Amino acid sequence: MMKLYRHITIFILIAVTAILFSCTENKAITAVSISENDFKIELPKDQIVTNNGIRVPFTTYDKKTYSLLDVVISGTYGTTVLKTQLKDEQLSVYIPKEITQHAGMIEWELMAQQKTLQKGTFQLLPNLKKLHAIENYAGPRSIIANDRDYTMLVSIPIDHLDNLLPDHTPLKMSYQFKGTITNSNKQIESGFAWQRIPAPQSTGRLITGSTMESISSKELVVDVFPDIPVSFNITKDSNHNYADGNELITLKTDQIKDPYGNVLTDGTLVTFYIHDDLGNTWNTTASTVNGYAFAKALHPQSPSTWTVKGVITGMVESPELDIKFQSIIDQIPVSIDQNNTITIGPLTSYLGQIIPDGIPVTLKFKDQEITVRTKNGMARHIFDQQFNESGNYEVMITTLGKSTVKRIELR
Amino acid sequence: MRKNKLLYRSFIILAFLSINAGIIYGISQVMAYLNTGADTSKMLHLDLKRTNYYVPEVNWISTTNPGRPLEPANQQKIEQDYLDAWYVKNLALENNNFDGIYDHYTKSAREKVTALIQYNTNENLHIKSTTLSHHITLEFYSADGTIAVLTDRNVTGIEKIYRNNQFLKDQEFNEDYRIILLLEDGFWRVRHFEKLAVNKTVTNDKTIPLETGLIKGINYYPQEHPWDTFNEKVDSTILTNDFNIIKDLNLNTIRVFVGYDDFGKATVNDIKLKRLETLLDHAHKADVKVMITLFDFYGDYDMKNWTLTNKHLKSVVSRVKDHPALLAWDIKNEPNLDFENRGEEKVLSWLSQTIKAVKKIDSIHPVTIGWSNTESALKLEKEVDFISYHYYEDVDDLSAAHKALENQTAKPVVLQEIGLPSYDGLWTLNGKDQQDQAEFYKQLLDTQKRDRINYLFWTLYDFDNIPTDVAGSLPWRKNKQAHFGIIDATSVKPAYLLIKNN
Repeated sequence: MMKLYRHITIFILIAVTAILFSCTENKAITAVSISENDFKIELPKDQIVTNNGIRVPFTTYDKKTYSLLDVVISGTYGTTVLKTQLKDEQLSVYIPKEITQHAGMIEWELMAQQKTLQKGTFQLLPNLKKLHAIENYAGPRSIIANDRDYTMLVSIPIDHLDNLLPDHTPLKMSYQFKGTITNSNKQIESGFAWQRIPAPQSTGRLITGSTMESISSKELVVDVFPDIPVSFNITKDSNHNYADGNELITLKTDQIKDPYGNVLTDGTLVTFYIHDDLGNTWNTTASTVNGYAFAKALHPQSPSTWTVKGVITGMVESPELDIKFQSIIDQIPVSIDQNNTITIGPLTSYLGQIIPDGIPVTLKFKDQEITVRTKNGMARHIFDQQFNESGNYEVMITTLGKSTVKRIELR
Repeated sequence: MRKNKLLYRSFIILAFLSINAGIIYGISQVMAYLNTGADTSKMLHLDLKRTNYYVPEVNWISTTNPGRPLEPANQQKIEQDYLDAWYVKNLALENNNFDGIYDHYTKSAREKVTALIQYNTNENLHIKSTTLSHHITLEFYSADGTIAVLTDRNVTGIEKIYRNNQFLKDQEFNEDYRIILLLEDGFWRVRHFEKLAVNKTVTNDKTIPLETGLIKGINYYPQEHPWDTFNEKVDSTILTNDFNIIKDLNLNTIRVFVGYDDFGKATVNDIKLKRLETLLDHAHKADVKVMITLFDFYGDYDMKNWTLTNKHLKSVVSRVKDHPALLAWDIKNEPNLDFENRGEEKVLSWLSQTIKAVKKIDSIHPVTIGWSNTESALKLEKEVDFISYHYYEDVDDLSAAHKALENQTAKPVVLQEIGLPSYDGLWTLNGKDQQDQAEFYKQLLDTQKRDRINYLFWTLYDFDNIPTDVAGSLPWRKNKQAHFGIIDATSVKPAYLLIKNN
């Protein structure tokens, strides 16, 4: 029994010493104090960006304690911490591509045991030998043909690792309009070059682009639209000027143009406001095609005079146009037969032809107003004997803007 | 039997009703859930309410540019989106995830950010960082308002590097950047970012002297409103009366507390500032100096919120920094009590940056930290202008403790809080009565006079209602806290006369 205890004690003793020993061995490294002179990095110079990373060698180093080193490095997009590597008897630190791809200032600091040993900065420069593209931005993408408006072209050239190029790098910015090419030589400033392109005075498509050494931008197109139109005239077009309630009259504009002679953009809405001498107002609209707008309106049924005005809302309006419509009948033939049937017609039009079917004829009889419609130029109404006592009555007949009074006798 | 039947019946009816109520509630919740987001106005993110989460100091140096004038609304939008770009990048580097990067970086820029985060993830590195100030110049704003080129100089801030969740290093930075932003989907997104220059960080090693004779003072709260000095009911009458008493006690200094929440966090309430000014005016009239303790009841030291505390501080400090009654700034009351919960390193780095932020605004008033004991008192000794500590140990050892501190620093040492409650009630085993308190003060004042100690005692009044966040809800703690005064509800305690005749 005693023996067993002894064994256990010995075992524990061995274990404890082993643990202690291993601890002290670990401490052996951490306990070393590293001084500023133990490690020296070969100061990185300003250099071109690379996607291969950058290896920075040490000029002075200590092979025993180098594992305690940390290199804190900050680029444009953030900070990271690097470890050193001993390879072929040379200690170095490898700055990964995540840092070395981006142009800008790089700050580095060599530290060990919470102590800064060495620090510095260097600059990563864009690679002017490996250009990638020019990013162009044009806007506004639609402008007005006049002497006030303009669009702007901004060019941002980048190298193959998406870095901005340095100031004063030359660049050619161009635009083409109707065969005329305008080039201008610009310099990059703050990473970009820009140009204001004044609007041409005619409509069309303005094409822009930039070039620089071997690289060029995509084509960007700016549409030039006509300016606010100048005043226009309207005319009418109709087969006849009779108020037949059947014919369509066409209201037309001139070709509408802006002050520079550019035809108004297709699809611009022109509203024709119509009011007549009977106090009615209405409108009809049409959109332009090649600067012209055509709108239709139905002839009135009564002789009247229209005043028409063409308006492009918020922009311009035409002078007024007067249109006269004459009546198509001179008189209203009326007859009444023995069955108390009143017959109006035949109503004939300006050629003597029968008027279109469905024209309303109003009869004012006693206190009633009765409307009947024509068919084949005739309208009929039977006065019901049950409601109307026999005798003489006065009937007023109105149709197509004419009225006549007729005395009738009901049986 | 009948009774039982009735009972069962009513139980069943009740159960039926409550099950039905539950079902209806459930259905209504589902309906409500399905209806949210159906509002068409939400499709455009127009009515997103912005809360303060990242408000570093931003100065627009110039918006004059050859492209197009910058309208105020667009300037605000650019500023917000640009700061958000920093914020999401900071968060991404801290958590090593890409949340928000999509919204604030264009495709090509996004790849650059995510590449670095990927690298740090693999190395198990976390980087906490925040910017604190920006100085933006608008270089260019395109005619169609979709490109903005900014130069942001002297972007100051701080970052802390953690490897395997172990703190490795913190560093301040002061850098210049060029940024090209594009307006995409209604967001100003970063297209290019380039660090142009690395500047020296501003260090402040000038110590501001504590310009006053020996401080004899009091930690002040109004009688009816303890821990609520800037309550609307604390009017001129109360202040005049209290300052008369303080004058009568032959004291020359008071210490007051500005609550972080009470004053409105990042967006400081102007009414509260006015009340603070009123208090200072009364103090000045009474010829009493005021030490203002900031950030009372603030407990979150996270770097994410530093811009918020800085904004709060800027409003308070810049408002009263020229007031003749102002003596000094106390950054925080007893921050060492948060070491355990929040981590010492986190608390200290917040204190350190906050000291700098105060000094940046007010370069004439000294700054201190109200440590709760002598052990912590020398933390950040290099950064404060004078040392403050609180002493609730045995008054016999005060002299030695104070001298020990003085021997370790060249800066003035202030005993910022000391006192004894005269409470001998139900909850105490060996309570002190008013006579004991008088004894205590006699000994304190003797020591103070002999050693010429700057002191502020705790406090003027006994308080009726102690807020629970001060001393918890345990009655023995509360009662103790309530009887630290030298004036009770009805009359002055013996200690009063001792202080008066000191």
